[in-house]
Amino acid sequence: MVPESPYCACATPPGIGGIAVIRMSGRYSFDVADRIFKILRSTAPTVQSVREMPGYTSAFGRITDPKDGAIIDECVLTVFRAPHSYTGDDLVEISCHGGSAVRQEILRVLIENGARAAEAGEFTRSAFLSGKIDLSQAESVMDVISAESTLALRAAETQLLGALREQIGKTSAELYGVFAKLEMLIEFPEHEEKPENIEDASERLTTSATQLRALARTYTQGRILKEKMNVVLCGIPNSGKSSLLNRLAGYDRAIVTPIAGTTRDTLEVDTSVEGIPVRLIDTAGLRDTMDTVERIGVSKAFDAITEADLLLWLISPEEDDGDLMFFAKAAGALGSRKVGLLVSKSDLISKAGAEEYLRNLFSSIEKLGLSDKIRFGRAISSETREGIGQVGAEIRSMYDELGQGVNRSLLLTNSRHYDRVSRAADRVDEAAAVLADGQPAEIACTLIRSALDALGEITGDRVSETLVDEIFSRFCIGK
Amino acid sequence: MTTLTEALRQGGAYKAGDYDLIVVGAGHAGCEAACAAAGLGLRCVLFDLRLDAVANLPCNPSIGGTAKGQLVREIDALGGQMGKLADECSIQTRMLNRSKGPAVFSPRAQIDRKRYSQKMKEFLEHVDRLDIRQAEITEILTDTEEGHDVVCGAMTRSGAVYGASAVVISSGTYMEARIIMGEVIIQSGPDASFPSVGLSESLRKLGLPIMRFKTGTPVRLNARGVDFSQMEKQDGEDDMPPFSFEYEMLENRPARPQMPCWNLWTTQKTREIIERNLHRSPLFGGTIEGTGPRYCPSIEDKFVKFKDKERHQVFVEPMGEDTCELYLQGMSTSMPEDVQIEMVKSLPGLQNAHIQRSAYAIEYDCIDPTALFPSLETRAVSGLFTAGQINGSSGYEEAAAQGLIAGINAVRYIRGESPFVLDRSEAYIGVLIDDLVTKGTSEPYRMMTSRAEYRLFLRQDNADERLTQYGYDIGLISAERYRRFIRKRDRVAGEIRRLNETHLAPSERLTELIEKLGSTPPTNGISLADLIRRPQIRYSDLEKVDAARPDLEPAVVFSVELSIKYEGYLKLEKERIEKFKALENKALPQNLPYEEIEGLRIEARQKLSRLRPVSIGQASRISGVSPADIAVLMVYLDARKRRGNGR
Repeated sequence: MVPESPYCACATPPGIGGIAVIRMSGRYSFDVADRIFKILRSTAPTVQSVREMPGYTSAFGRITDPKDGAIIDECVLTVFRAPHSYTGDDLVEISCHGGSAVRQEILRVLIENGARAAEAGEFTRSAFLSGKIDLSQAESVMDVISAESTLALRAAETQLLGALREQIGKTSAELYGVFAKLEMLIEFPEHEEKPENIEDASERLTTSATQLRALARTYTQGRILKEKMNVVLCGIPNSGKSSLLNRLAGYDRAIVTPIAGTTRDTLEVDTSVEGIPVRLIDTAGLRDTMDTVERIGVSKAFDAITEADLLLWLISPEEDDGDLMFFAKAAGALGSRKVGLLVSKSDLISKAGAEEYLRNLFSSIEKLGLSDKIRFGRAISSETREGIGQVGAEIRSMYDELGQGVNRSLLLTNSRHYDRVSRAADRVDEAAAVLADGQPAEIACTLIRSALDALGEITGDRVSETLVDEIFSRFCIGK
Repeated sequence: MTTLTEALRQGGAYKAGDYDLIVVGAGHAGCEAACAAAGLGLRCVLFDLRLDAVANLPCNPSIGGTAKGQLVREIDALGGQMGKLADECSIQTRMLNRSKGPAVFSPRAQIDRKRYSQKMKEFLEHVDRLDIRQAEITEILTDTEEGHDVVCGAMTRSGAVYGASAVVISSGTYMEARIIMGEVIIQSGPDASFPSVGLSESLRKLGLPIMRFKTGTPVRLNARGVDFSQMEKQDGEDDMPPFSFEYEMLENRPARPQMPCWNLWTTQKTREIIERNLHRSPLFGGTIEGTGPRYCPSIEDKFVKFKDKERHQVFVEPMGEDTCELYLQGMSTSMPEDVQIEMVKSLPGLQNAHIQRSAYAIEYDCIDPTALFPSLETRAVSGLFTAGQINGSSGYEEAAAQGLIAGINAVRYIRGESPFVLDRSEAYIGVLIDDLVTKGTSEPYRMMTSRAEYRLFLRQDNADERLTQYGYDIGLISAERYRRFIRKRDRVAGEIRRLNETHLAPSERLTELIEKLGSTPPTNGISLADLIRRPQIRYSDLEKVDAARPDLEPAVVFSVELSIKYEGYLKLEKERIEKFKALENKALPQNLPYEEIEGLRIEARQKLSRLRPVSIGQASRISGVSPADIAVLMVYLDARKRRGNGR
């Protein structure tokens, strides 16, 4: 069992900003931080771990996913020690790069390593409860709450929540079934009329845990439905990024000229590709330049890359100088995410020529040791629309893959829901193990109760009442 | 609403005396309330319709069981009487749930019903400052102070008027009671006693919401005609620790008798008799209006509700050592007498059994417990407390627990002290009272371990550790008992420390022992506590390798072993409790204008205005109050405090 976990959330508003701040507070915050954060440089030079850092000091370091060692971001972490923090508890602030993908990844690894997603207004509430903030600040709690309920009133949201409750309701009903049987044995020990199938309780719990995990997994897709898939278009100047953006968006959003370096800033379009909400991000062409404005554009392009769910790298044969330096740099910034390679302006060369060009490109990339970064390669023409449909299909297949083959009409889109469902799955698994191990039923019951408590935070169920109802409706007992 | 003066003006009325506290009804709740209050220095009078029925057990002849056994131990730890008497009058003892894990172990005793009642009466007669009086209270007398009703006394049917500063009503199932056996309806209390007539109306006039509940009891048989060879015997266990800490303190403990109970099943014939006569059952004919409990359905209920169940279990329990009477648990019914006779004869071994007392359903008036503060004082009338079945609960233990708390709080009310309230993380008593006053109940409420969120912590073995300090501070625990309690507590703590600090080096002897127990032998030094933490190893298993082991009593060993084995789970529960306490300790003033608080949803405003919770925690458990409402409330409270309006 994990002890009471710290809670985390992004403290800066959603959307793409330069940097984002993620906060985590509560007991064990430093332990969780140590699991994912490696200190590279710190203001207190001898310090090796977050746990050792004094209050009000910062460290520069790297966030990695302990599961596979993948680097998620480089960032600055600041430690606040209880009671000298915003919430009055131990607290860390992680200043990371601003994109939603990075933020989500960091929150994901925090949650996978012992934190939980904060409730709406939880930081403020803790701060308020520990007497850390004044009334005007506390009143923002009310704003958060009223904002949430306004949102919940929207038809679509309500429907989604209804479907979610129904889905969780099904698993809960199954859990209550096992729970009530175990409780019934405790409550009425002398009744010889033992509920049947108590032997398979452990198995049934495992099945429920699997269902909950499958539901939790839908969050990878659900997040995209809520926050959109970031598709970043990159390449050297004049590789046809803006033309592709306009094609995918369905209208001329970007100014397209044959002059290299026309796009000097990142440009975003929200659209839908094959039914998937996508945020297309056009970037300034990557090249070494002395032009100050263009240089800012290039640096912003790299910011955008770190936030990409999918990076589309465009190369136009007519502009290609054979230098893959920027490609390598971009691929490096992607971490574990991958690149779609697009040979643009294929109308300018023959089909056979385009294919051969693509083959050569692949072998150059292989020589750089970067072939594992490539997700797909295609020849396209924004002029003739050749291959454009296939790019859409690739975006769709990327989304489908995130669902790991689970075709569900219901997806978790809320990180709090994701957190509760994951926690419930953990507890139910543990309960199954405890039962299989032959340990006392009361421990399994405690674990199932905390799983149902977590699910109850989504459905509004109160466990004790539901349980008692369940026992009476299922079993015939009495004096 | 009648004042003392008005009461005395009535024909035949006379002033009979003045007391600090009047207790109405000498059942399990009333006895505890009166003993506690008198023990704390109040002059008390305890009324009952029939003094031969003091602390009667009108239904099952047993005390304790799951959740109820925990309640008895808690009552004992706070200085109540039930545990001591149950130990003295037990005729069989068992520890239930031994296989489900130590946290849900539940002590239960079969009780000699007659002896229990007699012993309690005798005890009451010796309590200083306490008078007991056979009389029927028909009216509660009140004054008005600053527009609020305040209790000032009570009046009996015969016109005796008593003045008092506080009143506890523990009317059990007596108010406007009627007994139902098929087509026959009798105005009667349980066990052929008078019902209480008029008191309910007096309470209604004082603004208390009256409900009507129903419960029932099975037949009693003469053992003479019973063929026990057709039943399964169920023996008691000598090693169940007594309910009371004080029993353990006794120098010469008498051996406790162990009479057997018996177990049998209904037959196909039983089922046919019930189905054939179902139209004669008042439950299905609509005669009974009261709401019955789900956990104690009548036998006809069981066959109707669970159609696919071929048979139901029945227990045969002795009623006492000096009687042949047997109680037939599981056969509660409101069928007519002739059907009851037929039904009993259809059971194995009971073909020739003679029924001494019929089964019946009983309907009675009680109050909606959401009309109470957690102190069990009514919101409507200051100084008026209610306890036991009048509050919608069921069971002797539930009643006794409430009686004790009501008695303590009546004393504190009179002395102007803050009420004594246990929360859900401290005791089953806390869960019981919080459930009743916060959520109310739609059926007679029975304590169950499933109702407790912190069950691993609320155990029968640590009730003294949880509550003796309170009992001592209140003044109901003697110095001698407190000293012994402290000694036990220190021994538990000391032994846990010793087990953590004692390390064993790997040795052949250790390896052999650990392997024999089915566990992996340690390769490095290991503490005794770490060994005990393993599921396969018990404290007793390690005696041979633990040279410095002190000689400890079984209760201490039990607590030590459980604390070590469950350490992780208990720690988790403690953390949940801390979180719970934070909200529980945020008090809500009683005068909050909920209707005006912006941001509260309408349902929440209404519920909060009506229930007036005492803490944020209690408010959060009211159905219809959402977490968002709670956050709004907290912000409002802070704003109010800053404006200087707070209390």
